[in-house]
Amino acid sequence: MNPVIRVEGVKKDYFVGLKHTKVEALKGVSFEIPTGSVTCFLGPNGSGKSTFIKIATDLVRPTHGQVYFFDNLDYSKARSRIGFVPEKPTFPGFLTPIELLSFVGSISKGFRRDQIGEVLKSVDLYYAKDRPCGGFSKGMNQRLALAQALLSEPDLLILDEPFNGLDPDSRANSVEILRSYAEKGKSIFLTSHLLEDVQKVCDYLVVIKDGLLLYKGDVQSLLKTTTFSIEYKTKSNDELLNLKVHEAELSTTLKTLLDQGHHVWNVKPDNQELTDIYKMLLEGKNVVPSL
Amino acid sequence: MWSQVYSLSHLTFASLSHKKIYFVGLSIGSLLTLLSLLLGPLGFEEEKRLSINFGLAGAQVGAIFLAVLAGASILKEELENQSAFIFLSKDISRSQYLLSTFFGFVLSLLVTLGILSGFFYLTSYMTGLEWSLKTLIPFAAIFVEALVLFNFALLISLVTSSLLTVGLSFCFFLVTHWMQTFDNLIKENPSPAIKILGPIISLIIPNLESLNWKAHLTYNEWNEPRFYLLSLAYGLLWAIIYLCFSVIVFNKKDLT
Repeated sequence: MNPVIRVEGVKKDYFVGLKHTKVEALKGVSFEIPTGSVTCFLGPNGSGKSTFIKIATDLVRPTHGQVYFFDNLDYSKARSRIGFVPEKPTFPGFLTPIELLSFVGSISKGFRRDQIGEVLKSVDLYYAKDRPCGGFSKGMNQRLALAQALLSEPDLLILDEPFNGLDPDSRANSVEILRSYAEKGKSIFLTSHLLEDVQKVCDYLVVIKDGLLLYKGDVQSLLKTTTFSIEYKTKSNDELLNLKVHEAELSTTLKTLLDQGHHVWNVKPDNQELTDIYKMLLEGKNVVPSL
Repeated sequence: MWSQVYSLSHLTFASLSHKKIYFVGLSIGSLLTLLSLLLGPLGFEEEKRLSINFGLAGAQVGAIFLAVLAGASILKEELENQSAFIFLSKDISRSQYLLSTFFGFVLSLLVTLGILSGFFYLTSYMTGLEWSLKTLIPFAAIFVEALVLFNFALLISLVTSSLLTVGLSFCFFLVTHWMQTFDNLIKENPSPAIKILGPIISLIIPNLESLNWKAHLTYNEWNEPRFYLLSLAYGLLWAIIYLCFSVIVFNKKDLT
């Protein structure tokens, strides 16, 4: 099966300031996203996530490389099968959700008017269907943005920080919506900083840092990788210190600690959380079985 | 293609008519037009002419104000609040999106000039102007002039800030009305710099004074219909040129 997204050597340079200083936002990123997966695109602030999302949705032109969708289509040809939610969506405040979705439907392919009610119910906004969206909270705006993306039942959803600004209930609701959408066999590609939610909904992960790819692969195999906590006391200090290391680095770390005369107190395997693994990935530790 | 442009231009029209700048432009135009009733008597025997001239100038100022402010802000705001990102992710190209913005403004301008011409009719009726279809001819010129300014402001807003766009657009408006004087300056001035730069400036800036027909109605002295048609075509051509440049720039621009 063709990947739902295929990224080929995407580079993006920006030129900023009076001196036209070159900033490399993406330094030649390549990866593929399997069809039917819920993929999370992770990375610290300034790593190039938003730039990539904008390149993928044709808002920003890459300096080099290309992003393909479905059967090697570029975005302009694939857009009718893609739903997109930007990071901070805002809508004309005088429109009600029904009016907005009718309008969005009128510029989308494959839209049926009877879908509006269903979609609004699915994002829990049906009760506000006749209220002007100018008075909506951030969470309601976010759900309305999700509703417009879901409107024509696209094969791929691209969501930039969909959980941002949502309270825990709304986040749980959004996670549930995405899960049930993925169960229909649809693909989802999202960025988020909220790793708890990511772990609940995503089965594939792409991590970038400083415009370079750090990891691509499924979440489960990453969670299976084992890390250990080493508790030790230094020669000079009686305080108990903690060190997290990957299985592959355990023996060398232990040897180093003992050679330096420290007292190793305890070594135990950790319960894996995506947050820990992500942190280790960013620190450049070897937690990845294969890249 | 056109059904999407039609839908989106209606949304642009609705968005514009909910903005403060729309009401500011309309209010300024209406107030100045109505003010002509007060200024008319200051002209003693020229009361009627002064009222007509000032009324038309009021409508022109309102339309120009709306054109510049709308052109400078509409696309910028839609990109900043990311609503443009959502619409552009649907089955609509950037060129179609920009065309929709333009047609949305055209609708707003038609409504604005409809209202302002209503006020003008009211004031001119009170000062004794005989109403005929000819009375509307200067409004056609104001309409085309506003289109040129809107497209110019739209183009500039793609490459710089809203504030600078407003400033440059008002300067542009003034310069376009001085082009005749500028052409005379080129002829009279022996400076080589003026001789070289002058024709270039004449080539890239339209002479919108050719669309200033207020005096025709004021003094009831009309030209041949051909003059009006050619002047309107000239203005529309410039509007289209700026719109085409806007489309080219918008297609190449990174929407960040």
